[in-house]
Amino acid sequence: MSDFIKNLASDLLRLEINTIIKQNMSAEKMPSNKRVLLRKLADMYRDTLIEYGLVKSPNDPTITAEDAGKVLRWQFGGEFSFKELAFQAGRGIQIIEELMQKETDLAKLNTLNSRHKILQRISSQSSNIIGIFKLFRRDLAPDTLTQSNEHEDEKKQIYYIDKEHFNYLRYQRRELPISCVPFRSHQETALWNNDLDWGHINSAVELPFLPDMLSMIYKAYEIGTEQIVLQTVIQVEGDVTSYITPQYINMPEQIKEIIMGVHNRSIHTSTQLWSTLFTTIINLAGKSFNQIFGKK
Amino acid sequence: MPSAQLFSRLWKQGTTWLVKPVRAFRFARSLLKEGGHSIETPFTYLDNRFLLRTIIGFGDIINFIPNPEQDWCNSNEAAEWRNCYQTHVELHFQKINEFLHAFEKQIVFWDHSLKGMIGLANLYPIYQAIVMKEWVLLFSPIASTVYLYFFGKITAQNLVYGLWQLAKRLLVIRRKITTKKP
Repeated sequence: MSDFIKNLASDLLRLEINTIIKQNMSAEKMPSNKRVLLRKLADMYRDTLIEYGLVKSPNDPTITAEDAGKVLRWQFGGEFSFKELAFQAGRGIQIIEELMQKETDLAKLNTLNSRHKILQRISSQSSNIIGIFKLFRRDLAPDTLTQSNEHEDEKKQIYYIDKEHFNYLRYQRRELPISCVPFRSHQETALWNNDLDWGHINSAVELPFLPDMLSMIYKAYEIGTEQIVLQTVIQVEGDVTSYITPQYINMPEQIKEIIMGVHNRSIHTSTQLWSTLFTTIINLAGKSFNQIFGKK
Repeated sequence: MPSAQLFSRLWKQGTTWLVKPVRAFRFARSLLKEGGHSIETPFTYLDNRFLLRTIIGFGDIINFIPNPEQDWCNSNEAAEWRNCYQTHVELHFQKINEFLHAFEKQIVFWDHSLKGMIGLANLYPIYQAIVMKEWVLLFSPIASTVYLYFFGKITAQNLVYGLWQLAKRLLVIRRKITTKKP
């Protein structure tokens, strides 16, 4: 709880206002099962990487042996899946940076730039989620942690190959390398991990997420891979920074006016809220409050 | 009937008072459950459903807005669509302001609660004063009330804390004296 209050107070040192154009506004409500939520977030990230042409789904019938290294082998929402996503997003960032250096067309450069930002988001959010699973593993299954942990995990992977997947048959026929065959649901690590298929997710125990972990995951899910059109960051020291995307600049004037109107009103209301929250935190976390309820 | 009236007034005051912590609880719950309090304004235009959504968290606000630039708009419809959009933006921010207003009321509630905590903290010295018959300990609640009135709650809390510690020490000394064998 004290960590939560501390995080909460540090969150208040910076106010961030984001305006996002979300195409699918009648989207379904957020899943209440956290495991399902993580799985859907991972699916969202996987779809984006596939859409950008950086990776291929193992279910893609056009996969050839040359696609080795580009096939997403983890189809779930746990540590191993997010590790693969972070790795592939990192690879994508490198490819896009190389393309950006060669590109001269402004419109194409803008597209590459926005993709670069989304890939950075996928990479950083995936790394954050990996961190959460590492904490769970440390707390819930410390006996599985060894110094050569990473290598052991890699060695064990051979046991987790999905032998029912059609790519496995192709592997046996020597049409595809083993790196094109996906992994099966990882029930063995269900206690601290979430690399599970839909059937196993529903029967798995709840993971002990802390409020700040949940807040991070919810935010990642809400924003997903949507592009932030306008962003304003106000620091407690008084610095105000606004980011305007090329997508916004290229919009017609009347549309820009509407979006800027929404953003400006948000800045106004959120600074009001900020000041109220600050007063509350100062009142609640005052010196004497700590003396009475915290220290002895 | 006077008793019925009294009961009705008490009920009304009680429920009005309860609304504040319930609101505070709901806000805290949605912050923990969804990472922020979400305010939504759905609307339809030409059988298409749209949603304006704002997530208010600690330290960040995220607006999800439908694209104001719709492909299906011809030049005549565009103005009408923009009007509809703007109207719902207004409505949406009206909702946000109402929420903030309610939130500010909660702050007042918490403020009073803190004062209430001082009251609770005073119960201990009063209890000690009665049990130990150390009437000097009654100085704490009296002094804290006076301080609360004149100098604000933080000073009062410090005072209560100080006197509380003093009372505890006095209790230890008293126990040592009473358990001493002759």
